[in-house]
Amino acid sequence: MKRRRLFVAAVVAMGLVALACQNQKAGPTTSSAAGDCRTPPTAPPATPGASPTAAAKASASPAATAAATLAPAVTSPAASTTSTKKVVKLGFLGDLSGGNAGLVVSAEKSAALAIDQANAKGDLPVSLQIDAKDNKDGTADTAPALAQQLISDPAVVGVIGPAFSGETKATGALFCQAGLTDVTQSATNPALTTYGWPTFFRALATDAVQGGQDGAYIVKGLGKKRIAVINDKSDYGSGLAAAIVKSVKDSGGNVVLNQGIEPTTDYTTIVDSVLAAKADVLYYAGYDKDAPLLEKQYRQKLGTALFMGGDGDKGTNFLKEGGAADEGAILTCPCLDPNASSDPAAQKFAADYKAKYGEIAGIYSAEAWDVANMFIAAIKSAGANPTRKSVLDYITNLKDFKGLSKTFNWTSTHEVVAGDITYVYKVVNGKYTLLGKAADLMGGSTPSATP
Amino acid sequence: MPACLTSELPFRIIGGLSSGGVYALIAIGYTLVYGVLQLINFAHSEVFMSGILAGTLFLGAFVPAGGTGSPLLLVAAVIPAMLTSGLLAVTIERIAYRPLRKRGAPRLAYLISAIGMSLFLQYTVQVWRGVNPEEFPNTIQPAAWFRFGGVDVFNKDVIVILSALAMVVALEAFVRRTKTGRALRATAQDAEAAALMGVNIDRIIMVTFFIGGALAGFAGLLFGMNFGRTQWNIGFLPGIKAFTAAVIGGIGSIRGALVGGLVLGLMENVSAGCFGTQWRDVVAFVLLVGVLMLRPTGIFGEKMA
Repeated sequence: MKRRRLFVAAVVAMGLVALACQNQKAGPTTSSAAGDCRTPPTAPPATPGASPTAAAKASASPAATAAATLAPAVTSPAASTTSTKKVVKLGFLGDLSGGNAGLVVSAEKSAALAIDQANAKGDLPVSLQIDAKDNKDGTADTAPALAQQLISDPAVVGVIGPAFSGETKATGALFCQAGLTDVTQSATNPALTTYGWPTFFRALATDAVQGGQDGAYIVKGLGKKRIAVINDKSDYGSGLAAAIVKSVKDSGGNVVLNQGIEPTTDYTTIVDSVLAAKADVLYYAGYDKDAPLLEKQYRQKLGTALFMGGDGDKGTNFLKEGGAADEGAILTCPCLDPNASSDPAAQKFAADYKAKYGEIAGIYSAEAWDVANMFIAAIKSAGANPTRKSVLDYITNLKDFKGLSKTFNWTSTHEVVAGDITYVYKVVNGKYTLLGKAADLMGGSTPSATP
Repeated sequence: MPACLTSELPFRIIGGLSSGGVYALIAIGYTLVYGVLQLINFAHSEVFMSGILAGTLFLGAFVPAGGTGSPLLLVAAVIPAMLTSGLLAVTIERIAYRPLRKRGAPRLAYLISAIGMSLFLQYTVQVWRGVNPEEFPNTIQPAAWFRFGGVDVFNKDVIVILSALAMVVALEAFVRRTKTGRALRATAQDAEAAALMGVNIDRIIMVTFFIGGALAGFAGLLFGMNFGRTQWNIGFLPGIKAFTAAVIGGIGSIRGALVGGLVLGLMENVSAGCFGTQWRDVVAFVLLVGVLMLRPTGIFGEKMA
């Protein structure tokens, strides 16, 4: 009898441990002091055992040593005097096949399209290739190993991505140590540019900007007063939710519910809370893998609040799985939908994309196109032997680079100058329809929460 | 009084009974097997998952993607879901446990074998169906059926609660009234004596696994209907929760599984209302530890009902 109890207790303990491991995914968000190549203290252990300073100064971690030994090979490439063009690669890092792939695949395709067109033009001094690394589901803890693969290939001179904030946070120090430039087309956690990585750039507005404009738009533009904000506890979701809660309050709205829930199948408790709170807006700050499920379970209980979400929700799966429950939902995004743009360059891009892939260009496609072309310009300017250093120098000193989504100049923290644009999209007949820029939709009153 | 114990309470009670009903059905599988073999079948979460998957595949053949099929299809899906899960549970017993039993292997060997089986099944489904979640075809139009404590009660919750209760009652009747049920109780009490009295132990063990599996399959169908999704690892959390429910109620007892499941579901939902959803799982396992410390045999004790 006693042994039996002991056995049950042991089994229970194992279950608890297993559960704890499952729930460990979401890392808390705190900012760290600026400095070269530091791993944010709370990031998954990309450089095990090494404290941030140790990693930066003593190169104690394996990652740092690997980068140090590689650096010479990269900065002084063995200029083999072959007549064929040297192969140079642009890396891409993001979820290409997992649950969040709908937020990443079209960016990867756009980058590939840009590279194909650059090669076809014939004026590139090198032969350019894309090296896309698939970080299934976009989890932070699997990203460093893939980043290391890009770093250890000397042909890789720049990285488009990483796609998500958690991935970016976990890999920023590695890219920095390797002197490899990474420009993200979609990682929007505001803290990412506070870590002081000189190699990291961001080609779109942050969650703080987006959340600030969203909150003001909900209260002033839509005239809604009772807002429930749910986040998925990811770096991205919690950051965006915090910004929205603040701006809703600043605009005079009422946050009736503000909770985090890790992605799950059973949203009963949160749906009941939203119903009990009598919210008239349900905002989900998370990813499109989970948003439609929450939305459907809420609609299943005949909840009538307007469903809203950020850029993380605006993937292909939201429309696919949400189906009829989506109709009328409003999603905001710091990204430009090239299909809805009146700019001829954007229209040409959208047409080229459709011709090549047989589908319309999805989320972050314009931003990824811009980032890829930025790198292509950097490579072109360096002649036959672009190095990681020449690319980094070119990107760092970028001046008035005209892209589809915006004109790029960097602030001192490597954000886009005057890049604080949030677009509002509504689901109409199962498609995303552009309503306009959030700042223009507020009925005359200007957004106050944007920095 | 906080709102979670006053105005919100009716929401939490319905939600709690609804999750609790599913936990109870899965918990019965743990409890039956434990009652007969003193073994925790950790592959039981995957038996549950196979039920959802069978339901998805069956309904997917009739319901167009994104559409709503007839509720009769859901009734029809009970058969493939329960059969698939029941047969899978029997197969697991044949492959992973019987060879160990014949050799008189130590208890730990069963546990390792169970975990191996569980992982094998999860990753087989992952390879087969992919990592991404699949939609569970919808067959029930949402509707509010009646009001309880000032809030609407929705059809899916009522279906889950009533059919879970009906299943447990039917199982009790089976165990109490039928010859096989008596043999099952006899085996649980003393396997050797039962064998001497002419009970075919291997057959009873197979029946036990089949019933436990079939109920998990039924629970899977309810889960899929209520939450609308399936995935290779979907069984993990409900499986662990159901195991918790079985221990809380008293592992080995059928009524214990029901009471444990409902108590766990209610506690989870009420506490989620009071402290926030992130506390839901914390409270569930605090409850488990509390029960193990104060009453290690659970509410109903370790006896087969």
